[in-house]
Amino acid sequence: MRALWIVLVLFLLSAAALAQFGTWNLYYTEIERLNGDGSTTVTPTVSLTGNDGGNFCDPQSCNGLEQAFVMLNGNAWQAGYTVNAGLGNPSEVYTFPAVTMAPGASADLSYAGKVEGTIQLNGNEYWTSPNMIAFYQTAFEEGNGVYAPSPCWINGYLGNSPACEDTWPAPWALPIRGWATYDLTSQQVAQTSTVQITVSSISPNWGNIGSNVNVTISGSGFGTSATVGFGGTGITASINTANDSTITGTFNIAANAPLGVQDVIVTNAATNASGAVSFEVTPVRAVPVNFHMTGASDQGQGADPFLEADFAWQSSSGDYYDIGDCFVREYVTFPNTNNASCPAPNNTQNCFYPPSPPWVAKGAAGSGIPNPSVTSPGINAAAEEQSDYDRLGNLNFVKPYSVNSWSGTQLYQYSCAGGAWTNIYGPVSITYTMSKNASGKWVVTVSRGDTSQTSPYTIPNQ
Amino acid sequence: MRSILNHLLTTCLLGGSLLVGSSAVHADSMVAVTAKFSMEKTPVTQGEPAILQITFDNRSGHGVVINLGYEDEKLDITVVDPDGQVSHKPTPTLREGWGPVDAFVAAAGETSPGSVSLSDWFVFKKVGTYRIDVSLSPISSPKEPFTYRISGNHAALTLTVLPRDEGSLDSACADLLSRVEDLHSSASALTAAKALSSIKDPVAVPYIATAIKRREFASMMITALSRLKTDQAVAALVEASKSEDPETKMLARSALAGIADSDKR
Repeated sequence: MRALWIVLVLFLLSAAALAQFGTWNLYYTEIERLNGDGSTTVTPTVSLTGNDGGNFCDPQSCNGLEQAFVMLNGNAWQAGYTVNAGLGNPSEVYTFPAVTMAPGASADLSYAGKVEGTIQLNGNEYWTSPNMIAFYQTAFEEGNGVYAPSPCWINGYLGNSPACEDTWPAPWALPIRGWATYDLTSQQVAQTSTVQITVSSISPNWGNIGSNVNVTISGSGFGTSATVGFGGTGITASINTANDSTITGTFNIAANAPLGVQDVIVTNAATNASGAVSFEVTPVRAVPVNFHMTGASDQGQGADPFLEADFAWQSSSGDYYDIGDCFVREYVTFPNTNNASCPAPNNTQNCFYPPSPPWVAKGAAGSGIPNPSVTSPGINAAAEEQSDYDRLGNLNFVKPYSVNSWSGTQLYQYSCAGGAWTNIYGPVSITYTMSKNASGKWVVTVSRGDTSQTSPYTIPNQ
Repeated sequence: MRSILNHLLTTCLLGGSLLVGSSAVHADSMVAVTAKFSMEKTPVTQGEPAILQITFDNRSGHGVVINLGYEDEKLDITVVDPDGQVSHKPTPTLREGWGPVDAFVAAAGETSPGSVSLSDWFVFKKVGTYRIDVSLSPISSPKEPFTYRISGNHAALTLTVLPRDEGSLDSACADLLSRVEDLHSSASALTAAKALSSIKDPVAVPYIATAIKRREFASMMITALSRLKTDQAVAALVEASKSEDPETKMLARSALAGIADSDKR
């Protein structure tokens, strides 16, 4: 019987020499980023691809069981890989020797050696674990459908202990020393790439011929002294501010600049040039024009201080749909006086202008704030007039009343195709006044500087 | 590209010379338009916005612009949630400020799409099937420059809401962001911006933060971030507070101050 075992062992050993052990390819890449200020940043990465031939884990569930690593050892980057035997015990991770990596060079990561460790088995889990089954190539039927593993044999290799007969059932520890060879062939491919300056966006990406356009360029690697060049003629750039990720400046588009798309290229101090992004010189773009008031009405009708102002406008091209990429909004600036009880910023709270009434504050005192409502002027202007409503929302007036007034300044603006907000109408003064009327009653009145229409509201609690 | 777009806008949407010049936009006769309603996407997962698509089919030779009015007041919508609870689109109340108005083209001889975000008025946070009854005022108002009658102005739709799925929500946010960033149609971008800013899930934060860069929507997106108030949203506001755009910077700082104030309380 013992002789039979020896024969079997020798057979399996010889078979093991021919066994396929899979191949991992370890790819090492140093990404050298040349920063805008001329310095460099090296980021090494390692990826591991390939398969294990089904020896360490089931190929279908092998993902994540092998990991590549990279570390800095002195001045040299080292890379290696770890293999999780997949025995249901995640602590069983084998780390293979690291090798020194260098960009532009190749190294053979072939490793032949032993994997040593102790694997804790806990009963018959190996029957259900695909990793275990894959690991244990040899299992033999003891009869009646009962299978037992051959703990001495792992992937056809002889383990030196324990004896098969002694170690079943679990739990027991299985030393797996004695792997004859571990012929894992890995190949390093070292690559060097330089990530230079990149431009991710330019806004706006168009400008009218013969105009100056304020432009923001976003990206990376710009440094603080980048320059902006063009693939064509007729545009020059003057830079206002620049940091590594953002450049703001003005594109001066000559009156004789060719219409169409030009490449925009950013070059940093290290003389690295970005890839090109497009900027289009357009014929004079249609914008909303002739923005004008068409009427005003007292929406409150005595029950509410509420004034409506209606506006209309045209397209500079004569065709409303040429301004289908535009928005219109109002932009309000608040007073910076008479606000002692309303410290800035206080735009989310009621602001009390002593002694009363409580005005609704809409923005930091002295600052401008856009109304969040924007509308599409092309369609709306064609459909109907657009209205603006001036209304005092807080009617909780507190006695004693006093003559008081508060004004905000309102602008109307448009933006087309992501361009800057441009004033089209105003400024208009919007005033809320607390006063006594001819009958001696306290009245709050909303008025605008561009119309004689007002909206008076008599306070109920006189 | 822009010239192609202009061509499309001109030929497909305008139906020739419909809207050339303000005096030419008035159609003399009653124009018959057929409306079709559908949900842009169903099912959606919890947290995704619900967008109602409205398609106007105008077989006549006259193009019209259909104005839904202040806060889409011509749209009457009733939603029955999976538990049978009924809610109605709120009656618009005129508010201080620049009046929000949606209007759609029904170009001559064309089928013209439009959309509105239902998340402006309804919350679809229960899992299950919602019934959505939509009714659009069939006739133009006397104030409008166009005279039209809309048939097919009622629809009973359903919207199925599935349990929250981060991947699906992420994909929806990415789609909305791409529409927000499309510079060619302000109406389409505005609907997408409203929908994106209405998402109250942390998944939306990076998309909302990116949409801030479109300055027309900076105010809307900053408001959305301050409403979300997650660590990531606050971080995005902090980033926006360093913006090169002074208005974005001011709005973000103001929002951060508002968050700090509310935390104190």
